[in-house]
Amino acid sequence: MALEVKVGSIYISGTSKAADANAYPGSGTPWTSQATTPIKIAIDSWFPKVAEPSWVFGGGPPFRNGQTPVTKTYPNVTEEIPVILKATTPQNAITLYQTLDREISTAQYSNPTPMQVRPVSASGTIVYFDVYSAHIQPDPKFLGSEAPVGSAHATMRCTMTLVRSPHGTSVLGTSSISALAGASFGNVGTGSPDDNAALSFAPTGDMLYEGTPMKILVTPVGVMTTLLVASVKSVTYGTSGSGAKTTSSTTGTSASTIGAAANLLGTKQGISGRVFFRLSNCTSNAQIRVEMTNGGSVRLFTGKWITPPSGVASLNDMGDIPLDYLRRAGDDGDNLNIYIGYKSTDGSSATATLDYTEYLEYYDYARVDGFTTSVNNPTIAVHSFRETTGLSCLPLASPVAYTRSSGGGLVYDPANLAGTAPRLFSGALLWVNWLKTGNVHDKTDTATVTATYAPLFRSVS
Amino acid sequence: MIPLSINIFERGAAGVPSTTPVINQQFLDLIESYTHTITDAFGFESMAVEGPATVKIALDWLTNGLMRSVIVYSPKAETIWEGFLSNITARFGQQEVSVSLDTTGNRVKVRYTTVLGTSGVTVTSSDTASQALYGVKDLVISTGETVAATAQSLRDKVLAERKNPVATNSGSAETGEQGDVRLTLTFAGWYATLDWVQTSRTSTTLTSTTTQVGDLIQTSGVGIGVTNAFLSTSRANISSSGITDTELIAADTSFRQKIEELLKKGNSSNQRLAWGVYENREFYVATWAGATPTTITYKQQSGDHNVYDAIGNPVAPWNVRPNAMRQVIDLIDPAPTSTAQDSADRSYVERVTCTIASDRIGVSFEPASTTAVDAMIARIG
Repeated sequence: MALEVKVGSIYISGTSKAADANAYPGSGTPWTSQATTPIKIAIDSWFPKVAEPSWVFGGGPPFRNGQTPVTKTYPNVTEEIPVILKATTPQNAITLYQTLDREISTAQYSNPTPMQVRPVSASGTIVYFDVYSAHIQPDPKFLGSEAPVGSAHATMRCTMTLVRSPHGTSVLGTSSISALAGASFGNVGTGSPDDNAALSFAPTGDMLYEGTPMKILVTPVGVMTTLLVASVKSVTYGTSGSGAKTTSSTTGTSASTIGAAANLLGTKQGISGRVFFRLSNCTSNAQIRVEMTNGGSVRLFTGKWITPPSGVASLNDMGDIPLDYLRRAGDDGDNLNIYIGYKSTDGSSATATLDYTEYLEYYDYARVDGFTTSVNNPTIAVHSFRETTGLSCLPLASPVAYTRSSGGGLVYDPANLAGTAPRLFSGALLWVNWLKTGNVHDKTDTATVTATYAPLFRSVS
Repeated sequence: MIPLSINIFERGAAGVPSTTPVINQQFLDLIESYTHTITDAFGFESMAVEGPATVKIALDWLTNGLMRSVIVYSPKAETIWEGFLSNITARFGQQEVSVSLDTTGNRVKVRYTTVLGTSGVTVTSSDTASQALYGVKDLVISTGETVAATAQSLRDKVLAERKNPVATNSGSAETGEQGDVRLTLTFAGWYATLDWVQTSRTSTTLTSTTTQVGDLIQTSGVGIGVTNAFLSTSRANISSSGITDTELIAADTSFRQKIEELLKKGNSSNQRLAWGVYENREFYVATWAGATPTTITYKQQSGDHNVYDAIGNPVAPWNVRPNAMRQVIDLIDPAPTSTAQDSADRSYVERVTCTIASDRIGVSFEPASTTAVDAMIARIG
């Protein structure tokens, strides 16, 4: 397969049969065009190295057979590319080598040099990688020796060694691809609009099932001080068990709420479960927690006691429901039965009034706070890939969250991000809820939500 | 991948943690290892991150970093550690520079004895500039026979030397590998700040020990928050001990000393207590898990790197907490005893250490530090 390779502004075509007409004459910039570049990859069979995953495994011998994968990441890739530099004279060949060397060395000075690769085709998708470091080792013993009789050109063979990003992307600058375009969200688990919507994911990239970074913009009508956002497989909403939960017990009691079909085997190995209780009111001496069974009376899980804000409507994040035991011990028919535990902190009557329950089967969940949206900066952004004109939209080392104006990307208030900035997965939905000052949850609020992504590739597209 | 969210905030006025995030968090993208410890008589105890850096990044942290606060969240947005930056060590090739709050003292007094055998104490002398940065950190110097003026002079000299964090530089000038630039940030849990301020109290009223603990963390009355408002004043997680003790506090007693003196007395059921400062800088007191040794919180099995809860769900290593009973389910107890706290397969967890590095992700458990009877008696005063 013939590849078109460009490093910075320099084309390196994929054929070793360089025409003498492309020999660098010592002037001009012939390397800026695929057709005229005097630099060639020396072997037709060169192909970008695919980033090899780095696994951390746990457990194993001598106690048992095999080891269990714990986590998977991708390190940088070191490429060795043999190239041929064609010039009319040995000195011009050296000048060409110096030009290429400078071009690939900008990472610490300005920006990482982009390396773009695609099969030679007018419609092929270009994949852009970042080059973090590079050097070229010339092999001068061939200088001037590879010239057909009567031909006025010199050849320098070199090995270009690059350390580049493990992934490339097909998107540059501000051209990320829409997954959700200006969708209206309600701050409530039911109705139209409600708090979740499907994300579109085409073209897909190689990280379809491992998570593709997104940029999520949420513009509420009104003020927001805390954003809850997740990429989910499904949302189960219900009002079962709603109403006032009153007790004087300091050890607590519980009441059933919603059930959800588990179906945890097969297609749901990678998801986690999370429960939210929306309370329409709560006394100051009440605490609540989440409990879970799978149909029996034994609690398979009880969460931590939390103290909801009193006297106001609140959406309470009850944390994760661990599903792994059911995965190992259960079958596809197991259900999850969610209970709300409630108690009094001081022995006097305490009431938590349950409005509804939401159960998320989710991939990533994040809470963003430490900000306030306002007239001047009405939008909160959760941003996981680079968006700089001229540069590829590769993932940021750490996602950022901030408020911004509706028209531009200026950062007004940096925000705190806890959890994992939601990534795009095949078939995922985006779930969004938010709180106002005083942790008040207003289910009549609405917001406009936009999500974009940059597909990632480990090699060519 | 394991995306921990390490959120660092600028130090607020008088060291009180702020909500202003540190904008320049480049170093956090470079860390190569993360470790934290949590204990049953401290709470969040220590946390350290380490990794390569540039000279510019390292110098910025050395200059501006101390007393910045941190909250670490798990990939599922749970708080797994919280504290403040107390030590910074930067290695520049063969040179090493460290700055630390450990030896700082910005409110000093000197105790002395006159030649006539009369004990005396100078008034305290403060450096308000240092206190505006880090909060109040008491230092009491005891000296031998002297006069008041000399003691005052000593006080002023010590204050001048110790009012700001001391930097220590070491290094060598040798041939061979010159080394690179690496940075280590070490954080302490907020419980450590209870040692910073000394107090005294003349009241001899008998009051519930845990009520006194709640009083000592308030921002009014006898509370440490009057001086350093670092901790939450919430009493919601302080379980009642059911026993009383004197409110008397001898001079030059730190808040930590008094709190531990009260809590080491246990509860009305003759059970030990566990305590510490945890999420949202709230103080927790609870009966120690060893009181019900058959209630297992964590389970393990040889050959399996996971820690499981009592039901069998895996617990992420960063979510493991002390004050828990741990059981290794494939170790046969030759003489199972239901009332024994510890057995071959079951033990109390006093401290946990979570480590995340390129080649290792896990948690280690430390049992009770001693079972000697005299030490146990000492724990209960």
